Amino acid sequence: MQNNYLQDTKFKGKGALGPFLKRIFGYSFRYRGASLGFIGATVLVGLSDAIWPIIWMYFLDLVIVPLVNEYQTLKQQGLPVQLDYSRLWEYFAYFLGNGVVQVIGVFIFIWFGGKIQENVLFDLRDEMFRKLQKLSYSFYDKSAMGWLLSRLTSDADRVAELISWGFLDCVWGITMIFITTIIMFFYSWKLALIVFLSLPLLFLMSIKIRALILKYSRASRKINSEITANFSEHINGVEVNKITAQENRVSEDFKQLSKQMQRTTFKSTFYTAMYLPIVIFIGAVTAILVINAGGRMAISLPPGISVGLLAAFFGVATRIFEPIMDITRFYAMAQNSISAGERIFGLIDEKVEIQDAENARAVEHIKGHVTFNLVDFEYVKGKPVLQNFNLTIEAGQSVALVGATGDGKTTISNLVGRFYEPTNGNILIDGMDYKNITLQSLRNHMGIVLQTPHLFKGTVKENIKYGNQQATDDEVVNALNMVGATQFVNRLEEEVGESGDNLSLGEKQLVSFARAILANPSILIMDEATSSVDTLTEMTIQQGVEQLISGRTSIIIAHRLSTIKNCDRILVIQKGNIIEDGSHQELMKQRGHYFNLYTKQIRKKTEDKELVKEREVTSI
Amino acid sequence: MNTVKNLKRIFRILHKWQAYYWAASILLIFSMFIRMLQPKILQVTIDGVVLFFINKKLPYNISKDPVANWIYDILPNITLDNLTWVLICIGLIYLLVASLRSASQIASSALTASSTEKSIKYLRDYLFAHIQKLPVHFISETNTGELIQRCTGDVETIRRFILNQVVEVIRLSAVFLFAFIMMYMVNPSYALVAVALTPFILITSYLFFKKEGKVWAEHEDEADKLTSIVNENLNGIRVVKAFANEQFEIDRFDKQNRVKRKVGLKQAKLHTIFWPISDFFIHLQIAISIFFGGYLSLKGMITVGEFTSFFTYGIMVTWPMRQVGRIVSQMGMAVVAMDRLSKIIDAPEEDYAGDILEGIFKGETEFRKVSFKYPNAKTDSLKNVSFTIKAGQQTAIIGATGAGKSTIIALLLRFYEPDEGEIVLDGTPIQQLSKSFLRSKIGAVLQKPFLFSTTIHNNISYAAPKMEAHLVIEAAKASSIHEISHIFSDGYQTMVGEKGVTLSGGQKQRVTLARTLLEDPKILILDDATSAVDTETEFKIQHALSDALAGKTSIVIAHRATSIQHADYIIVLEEGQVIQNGTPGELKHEEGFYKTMLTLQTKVEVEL
Repeated sequence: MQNNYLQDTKFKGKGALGPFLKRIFGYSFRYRGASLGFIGATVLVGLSDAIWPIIWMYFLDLVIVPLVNEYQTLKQQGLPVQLDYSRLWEYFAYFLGNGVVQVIGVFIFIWFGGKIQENVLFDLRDEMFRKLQKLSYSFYDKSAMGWLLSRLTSDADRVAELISWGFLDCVWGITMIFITTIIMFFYSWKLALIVFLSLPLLFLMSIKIRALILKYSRASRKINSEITANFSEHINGVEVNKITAQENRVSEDFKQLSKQMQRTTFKSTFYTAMYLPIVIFIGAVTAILVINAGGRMAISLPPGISVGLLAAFFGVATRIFEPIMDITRFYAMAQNSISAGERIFGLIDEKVEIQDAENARAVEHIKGHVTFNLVDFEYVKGKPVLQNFNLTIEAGQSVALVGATGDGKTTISNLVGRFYEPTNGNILIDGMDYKNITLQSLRNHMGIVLQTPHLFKGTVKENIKYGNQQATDDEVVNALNMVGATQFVNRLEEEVGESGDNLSLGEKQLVSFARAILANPSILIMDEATSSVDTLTEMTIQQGVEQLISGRTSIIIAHRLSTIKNCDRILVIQKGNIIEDGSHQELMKQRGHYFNLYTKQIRKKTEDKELVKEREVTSI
Repeated sequence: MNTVKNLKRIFRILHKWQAYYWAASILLIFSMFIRMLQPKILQVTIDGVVLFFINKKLPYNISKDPVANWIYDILPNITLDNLTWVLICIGLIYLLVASLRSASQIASSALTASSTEKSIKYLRDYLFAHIQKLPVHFISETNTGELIQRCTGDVETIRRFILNQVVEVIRLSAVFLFAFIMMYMVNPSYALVAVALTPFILITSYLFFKKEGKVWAEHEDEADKLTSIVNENLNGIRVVKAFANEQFEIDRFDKQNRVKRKVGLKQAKLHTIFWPISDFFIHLQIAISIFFGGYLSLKGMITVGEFTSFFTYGIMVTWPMRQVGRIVSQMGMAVVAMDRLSKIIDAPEEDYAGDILEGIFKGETEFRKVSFKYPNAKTDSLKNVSFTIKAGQQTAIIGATGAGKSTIIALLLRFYEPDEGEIVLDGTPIQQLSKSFLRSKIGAVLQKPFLFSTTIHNNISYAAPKMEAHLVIEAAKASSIHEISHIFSDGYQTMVGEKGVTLSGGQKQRVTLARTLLEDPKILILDDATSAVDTETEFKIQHALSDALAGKTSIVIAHRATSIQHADYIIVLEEGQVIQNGTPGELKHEEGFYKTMLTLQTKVEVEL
């Protein structure tokens, strides 16, 4: 097994952001209308936010200040004051109108944003899941399930969040900065320059602090998963801790981990918390400069700026950090999503090793004649498992593979199932290179019972029907009877639980036998299917096996030689070669490797029995 | 569920850091108070400098505004000659105000963060140690996943509550209250108009987030279903491929993926209704405030400068208010989380007090008329069971599944106490013995092998971490691990993966056996300890064990006849009762479980 895929793909950082964003936005632009609407609405809202201070400025300069002055003068002169509110109403309408524009914008961008988020999520998950169904064993050999799962869940969520709500912040921020800058320079380039000069500082501080937050929150996420793992492990293993009296030791060990967690989380929360006060302070300093410069301009003759403009600039200066905060938030989010993106696209781009050739065709029926023709195979480059391997299995024959672990038994059966393909040479089924047969039709004619019987959540019946979705209930019962699993006939609707954990290993084995037989396969493969069941179950299964193999090509790998004694042919495999080939009787006569193996097992059993006898004698 | 009680408990989690936490809150309130001075700076600039310059006099009603007056008092005399100097002073005051505000806010956050993280660490440590000491029946009755979720997810909810939500409530209330007071001091009617729609905004926000919480839960539910479909699929991917059922799987996934998207869009729809509506009310409120402020300034009741600061205060009391609903609804989650955690915290720990046995520990164990029923079980698991396990002998307990074999072990280890009768160890009832003493003398290999995610070596030396390497290897040899250690990539230093997933069942059993042997227990219990080991290896282990066990008291539970071939004495259980006992020689001739088992085994061997 290789370790590289078992761990989180390393974060590549520099230079990865551009291509990542380009690709991920490709997904949202599949929904062109929604994307354009989304961006348009966001720009509209940013625009209306940027215009707000302008309305306020005109309101002060054109309405409030002159009218107040006029009324005051009138009052001073003792003249009657006729208050005119019409202009107030006018600006009331402007303010509310601008608000309504925003409301409409918000409505549109939330609607489209949600749409983009959910649809991209859907597409990413869909694409990944389809890919996962296509990938071959070799991929799963090197991948950890937990990581694969998180690609479809948390990784996809994170990326979808980035291109919807994260992107919203970014577009809004850019619009705000852009429009505000134009407006500022339009009205007073001197004051605009003051505000404008604070931008680089704000940007720099934002990026710096955000990088720190990112660093520590990443670290604390990592420790957090260790903490979860620790809780999980020591809750599941609490009995072991109790019987070994290790309760206190493990609790003390845990404290070190939680101390680490405390330190890292403190740092990440502290930097998060100090960010806002710092940028607000920078904004305040800018506002001071605006008040001083603006104030001086206002008190020179002729006045350089109006009251309204001063108020508007003051407002802009104290709040200019907001768009910057949003833009850098997007940046931080994007940085934080790169590794998720790499994992997602890594999966989507993963090469499918075994797939149908273009001219592959489906076969209606398979007799089950199997030929290995000069087959080479290696899992790892340079470490061949099979070389120039030849083997012919007649249709209907039962063949047992015997040999030590790692000598190639499972490889042979996996090659027949086309879970791997030969590196060189070819495998023929009924005389036809199996690469020219569609995978689907090939496997429809194969039944495979694996070492660890895996069942799916659902009822017993659903699990058996997994072998043939079209089967009727009668056929299911038949299959159960055939493999001697009669106890399940009345338990068809029973839930087997997650991974079939409600059933014992032996029971799972029986169900998986029934599942294989229901498909009525022409070729049956059993890999160490009875290695770990108790005596009683083994007896039952033994009878089932006899039923299973009769009349079809069967390839059986078994550790206990008693299981395979009745096979038509027994092949002894050593280092990828067939060193003995024949029936049980023939091989026993040869007095070779098989003979040794078999008699060794027998001898042990006999010794075993004698030992029992001995002890009985002494104890009586 | 008692909300007040749970809230109190949450604050008790702050433990000895409570004082720091409240100090942080006071600092935060102070900071928000200082913040209120900021709009006044603009006000003073406009009224005292700019308009003074235009009108050549201060506004007439300036005396009504105490805060502004206070600033005017600090400033140098305002005359036409020194306006520039006044501007500089205003700048300095503003700098002071802004520094104080940011500094106190940072200090407050630092204090909050440090007291929160410290107390949460304390909580985590407590939970961890507490669970280790909880009785086995509590843990077996509780769903493990849920227990882990409580110790991680619920703790995180409470952490966020203390760290953010409470702080946020304090901050928002302070801002609201102070801003209101600032307006009220100058013009009460303006203050009231400025908050006129606030209750409305608060209520809509609260109702929305409550509803949103429900849809969110529904959304999570569908997401969980989707995850479990993928999880099942990945775990059984080899079966999927073997039966060429990829399309079936894709269809099933696709269906749920669609459901999930639908719920997601439903949630988005909810947001498209709420945010625009609440935005509208806020814009309406602000427009009304501006209108009213304009009206007041035209009437000469407030100055233009005051109007500008009112505008800022008005925004302060409106925009943040729609967040209140979110916080309140999230706070509800903390109460629920605390309630769930309380169930763990309040569960009593095992009592570890008791005597230890002085003198030589022999291991003679006697069950005297023991009856026992599992909590929540309908029938007794043991009924009036009596037998003696002689010191230095190997006793086998056999019987069908559910006969009560493992219950005997559980009682002996004091995971449970018998309902009736007593268990006596070397003449002392075990209830009088300390649990840690008892368990350190008894080494048990349990039915389900459990390994920790560390190296094989560390797993073997789990109970004796400082044990010398050659002794570890010796135990490994006796358990037939040594002979396979070369197949692991790094030998004994190979990591076994979470719960030992990378090892086969039999390999795991062998490691746990070695772990127990290394403890060198006085009584060894093997509860179906080699069930997943192939017969050949089991045979080897039996040989090695018979040396290691010579002269030791041991109890063996097994299904296979081969596992109990070395037993000196056999006890047969059926439905919680001892139905047969004796030496193997005696039982061989009696009709019963043992004889059937032997016959079956022989039958299998004959086939060979």
